[in-house]
Amino acid sequence: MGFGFGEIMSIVLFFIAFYGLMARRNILKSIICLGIMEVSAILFFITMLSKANSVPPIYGAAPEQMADPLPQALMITAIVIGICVTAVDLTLFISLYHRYRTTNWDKAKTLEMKEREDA
Amino acid sequence: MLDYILLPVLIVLALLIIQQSSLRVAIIYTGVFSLVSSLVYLHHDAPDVALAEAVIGSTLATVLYLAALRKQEFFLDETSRENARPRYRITKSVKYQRIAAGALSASLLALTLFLFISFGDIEQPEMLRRFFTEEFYSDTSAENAVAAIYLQYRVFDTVFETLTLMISVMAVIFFSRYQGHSYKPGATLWQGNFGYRLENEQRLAAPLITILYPFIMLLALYIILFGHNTPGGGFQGGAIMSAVIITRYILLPINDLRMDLLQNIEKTAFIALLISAVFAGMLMWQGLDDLPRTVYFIVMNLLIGIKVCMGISIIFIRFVFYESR
Repeated sequence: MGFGFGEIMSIVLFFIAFYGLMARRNILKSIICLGIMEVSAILFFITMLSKANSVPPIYGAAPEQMADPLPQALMITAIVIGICVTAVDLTLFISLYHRYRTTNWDKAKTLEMKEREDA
Repeated sequence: MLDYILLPVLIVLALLIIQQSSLRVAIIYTGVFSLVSSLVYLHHDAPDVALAEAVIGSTLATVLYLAALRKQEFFLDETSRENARPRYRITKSVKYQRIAAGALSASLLALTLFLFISFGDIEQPEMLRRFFTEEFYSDTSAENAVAAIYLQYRVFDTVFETLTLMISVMAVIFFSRYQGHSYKPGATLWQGNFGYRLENEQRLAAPLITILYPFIMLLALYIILFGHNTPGGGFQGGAIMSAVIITRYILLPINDLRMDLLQNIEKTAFIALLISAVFAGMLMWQGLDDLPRTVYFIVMNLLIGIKVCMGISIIFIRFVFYESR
């Protein structure tokens, strides 16, 4: 047993999203990068330990040929929680935009500091 | 084999998303990215996950992103719309910041890959896999092993997941308030962003959507009701069902749905889900025959479907009609 192409690629994908989170100052871009990170984690779990000639885990196939159903069941959970996180993130983004009228992290922070000094 | 084509495509799409300056284009790329990743899951024999990703990650997330972007652009009033997107000037400090971020990510990536290749040679947990693949049909009499796991073996995970969805719905409700953006003829809400009048759009869309409604409902019900035997289930079917509300908004952007009714349906479905999971799924499970077990799976899938449909509909309605707090 070794490690497949999929696992290595999902690690690469994770760090691309990590770069995007650090290098981009746009709030919406940051939320999208979080989504990419989530996909990379799911990709890791799905491609982990996958075999060459496996079949979907549905009754009727030989049990030793089936793909492992446990990570799949957990990853459905992860996808639904991912959309919850995205929805709350976007609502918070709209709130922040409504208040500071900017989509830039740095500008929002500067405005917040100024507000705090005025108060 | 397909891996060697699809995974590099994913990497390229991720880089394109990060490099793209137009947010609208980046969001569309995100949808394509999710769709390609769903194809990868399908290739790795995970049809349930592929279906969930295609419905939820690729379609609904894109719709939510676009709604948020449109709302942000709608806030810009007429005077500031002209200089709405000033050219982002890349100063020297930003450049250095990017180089530092790139160097840090690259070194972390190299370290992780090194550690993974050196120590990541995990043995397949054969015992656990065999337990789930050999025993699931005699244990639960569901033909889909994934449904057997999330509705019987690990049903508490599912209950807490639906609870998470409900909490996120509450958060979205809390952070938005109503400002009365209902549709008026020639409303600027649509005009300002797309440049055409709503009436023409309605005339085109109305017959198409009227034909589509029954098919959407049929597909959703099929995926929910056969979720215990074929790939699919409550989450995917409920998400498809919420497409009814979303297409209805395209046809008729009026906020006349009663939010409290939707919320009450969601809460009732959650409580019914909890009760049926605890009593039928855990306490009485050993005494049940094949037929009551199948009924349990169908009822659970239906409840999850109703709950997910209501939750996503509330989130969508809040997104398009309500302003921020």
